[in-house]
Amino acid sequence: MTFSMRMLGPALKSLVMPAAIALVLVALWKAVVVVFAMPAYLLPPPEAALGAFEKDAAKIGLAVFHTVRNAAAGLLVAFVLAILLAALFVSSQAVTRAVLPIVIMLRTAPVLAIAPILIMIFGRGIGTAIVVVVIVSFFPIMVNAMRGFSSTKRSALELMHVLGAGPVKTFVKVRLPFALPFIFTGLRSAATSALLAAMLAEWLSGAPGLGTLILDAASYRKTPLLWAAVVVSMVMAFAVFALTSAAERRFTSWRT
Amino acid sequence: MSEIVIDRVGKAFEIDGKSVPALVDVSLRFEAGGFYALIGPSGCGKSTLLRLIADILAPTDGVITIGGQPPGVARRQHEIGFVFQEASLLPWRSVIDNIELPLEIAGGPVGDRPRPESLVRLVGLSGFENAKPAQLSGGMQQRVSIARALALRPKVLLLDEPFGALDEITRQRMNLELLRIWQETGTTAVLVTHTIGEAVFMADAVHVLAARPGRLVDTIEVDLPRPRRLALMQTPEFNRLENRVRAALFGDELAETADG
Ligand SMILES: Nc1ncnc2c1ncn2[C@@H]1O[C@H](COP(=O)(O)OP(=O)(O)O)[C@@H](O)[C@H]1O
Ligand SMILES: [Mg+2]
Repeated sequence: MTFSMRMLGPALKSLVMPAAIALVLVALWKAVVVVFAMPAYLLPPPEAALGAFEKDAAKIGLAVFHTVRNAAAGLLVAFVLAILLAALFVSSQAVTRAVLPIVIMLRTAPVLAIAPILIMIFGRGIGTAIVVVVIVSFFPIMVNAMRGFSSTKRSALELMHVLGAGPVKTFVKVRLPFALPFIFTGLRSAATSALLAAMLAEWLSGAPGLGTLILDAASYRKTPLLWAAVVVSMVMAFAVFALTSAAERRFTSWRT
Repeated sequence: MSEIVIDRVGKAFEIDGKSVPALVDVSLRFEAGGFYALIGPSGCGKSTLLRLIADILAPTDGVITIGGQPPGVARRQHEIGFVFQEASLLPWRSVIDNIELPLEIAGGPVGDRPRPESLVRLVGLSGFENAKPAQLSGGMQQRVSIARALALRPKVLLLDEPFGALDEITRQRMNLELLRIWQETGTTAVLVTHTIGEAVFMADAVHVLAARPGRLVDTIEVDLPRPRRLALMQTPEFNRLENRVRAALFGDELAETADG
């Protein structure tokens, strides 16, 4: 009993602060609307957004599902790709010299400019979304993973060598665990930008999702719906941040 | 239980484009199942010599063989146990999981290998099986890495100042334990140490090295009976051997002081 209470304690505590801040923000929102006598088509009061949220809950829910699915799929691809590339780069100088410039070029290419090409190749659905998410989010994971893989203590590598461990076992048992704290740092910033990238992909391709919902609501002057969607996307970003932080604590508790 | 032969071995390190010799023309024979000590001042190449035997480094000159084969063969067959100067435990693994690491790497059946639990007991860490390295003192961590080095019943056991971080009493206890384990397993042991008494107490022969450049200066055969007991350290024979090691270590310096 006491044990589960203690487990619950930190989780509750980590929710109290965000909830308080959210309350203050909502109060501020209301105050701005009242004090400046905001017209509803510019900024509706919070209760109007809440009303829109209740009325269009199913629509918003479906949009969230699309966006989160695309972001998650893209993030997964980005993660695997980034870890593989980082492992390759730290193990071979020649590969690094050949491939890293291409990776950096891809990274700096403005998504806006290459969007038509991507849509041509990958279509208007999840394909383009995944590619856009990968382009935006794999770089921070890769850079941090590279730092992590090369941070492995030399004595640990020598130990594995003396024990007769091959490169795969050395990677799985030593390099990867040592790099986890770095990888999580990259994953956290990649995960939040993956959401934005998924919405960006919707704007570019017109595929359904939260980004398209926001765009449509704005162009049809459905301001309460627009703001409901904005709040939902903010809550989503926070949830992703909290989730990756929790995962980080779980997997790197040995660091304390 | 593998003979180690070191034949005219030299090792130079590349520092700022210049080749700096760390070891020059070292020839040694460690007989199968013997216990040997390497002693010498800091920087004389003791760790480098152990790393050469363990195939962590390759010699610049000369040849090393373990059981008649290159050290890489013994290493890949998981026949080398190495206790590093610093404990080098994996911080996310518990005590027992650190000790099991060599078993995970070698794979295969446990066979006549010691069980990890009995190794924990052997190094006096019962009750700490699930502790993380950060929760242990330096001495306890070092004992875990000794247990880890023994996990595969290595044919060659290389120890790089394993007890440097331990207090005198624990160190004596660990030394006696180590001798017992060595005699039981028949492994060929090479111990690097700073302490003259420890070298004489443990070894069949003490090899004395000097620095700049690292080289072998003398070998003192220790023909004291086994099993060794602590009382041995108070015998004149033991002191005579200690003095011979001391003389080899300090050379002319010692003679000067005695004269003046
Ligand atoms: N990886 C290395 N690179 C360059 N120099 C080294 C390296 N390892 C050891 N040395 C040098 O070789 C010499 C012997 O070092 P070491 O074997 O660690 O001595 P000891 O263990 O006897 O104190 C020292 O001068 C040291 O600076
Ligand atoms: Mg040393």
